Amino acid sequence: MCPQAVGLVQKACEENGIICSTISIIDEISRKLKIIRYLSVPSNLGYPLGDPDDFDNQKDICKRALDLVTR
Amino acid sequence: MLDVFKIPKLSHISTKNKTALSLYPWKNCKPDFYNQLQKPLTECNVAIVSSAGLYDVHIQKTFDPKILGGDYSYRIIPSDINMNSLREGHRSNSFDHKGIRENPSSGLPIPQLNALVKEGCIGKLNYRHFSIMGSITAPARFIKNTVPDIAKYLKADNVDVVLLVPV
Repeated sequence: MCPQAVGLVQKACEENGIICSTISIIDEISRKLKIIRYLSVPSNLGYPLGDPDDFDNQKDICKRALDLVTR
Repeated sequence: MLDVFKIPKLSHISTKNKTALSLYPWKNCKPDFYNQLQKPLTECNVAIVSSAGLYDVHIQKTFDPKILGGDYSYRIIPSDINMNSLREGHRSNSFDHKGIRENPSSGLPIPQLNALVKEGCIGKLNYRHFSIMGSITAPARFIKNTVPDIAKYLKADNVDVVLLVPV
């Protein structure tokens, strides 16, 4: 249900002029929810930014997700 | 209908829960309208919304796992928080909690975004972020109470961009 919870926040934020980018662990659910802007990640549930011990990779995932808002 | 049985990342979930997810009435989260970014990301104020159920153990209560339909409350997490103060209070049994519990920034990437600010990739990090507990099966109270509050605060803070991190 996490994707839905953040998806609902995303909807309200966008309708208030705040641009959003969402991490997507399960793309099938992100598509079902119609989240408009998301970065698909290969990791499993509980690890939205990948390996918790890999700071650089986590930072890169955040950057790539944020870069989506410029397109 | 969402065919959960065909989703490999959900293969570990029980048949009962897969069936429930397949039949669940997922909400339409597509905004009625949305805008394009009007300035460079390097000038933007960025905030995080995380559904990892994180809270400050010293001054905040955990999320209540007994609330029917899910605890729809939220926690405000300041940017200057000591990440070691964060604990995870997510009630779901469908994912491995170990990563978030050992490294809360895995669900609320304040240090990671601070690094992006220092590298000049984003303008600045908002002074506060929002933590929710994502296992909300009955979202009516969440939609009516929590969502408008978070949007209102982000708007008041002049946040340009939000990074949403579900777990």
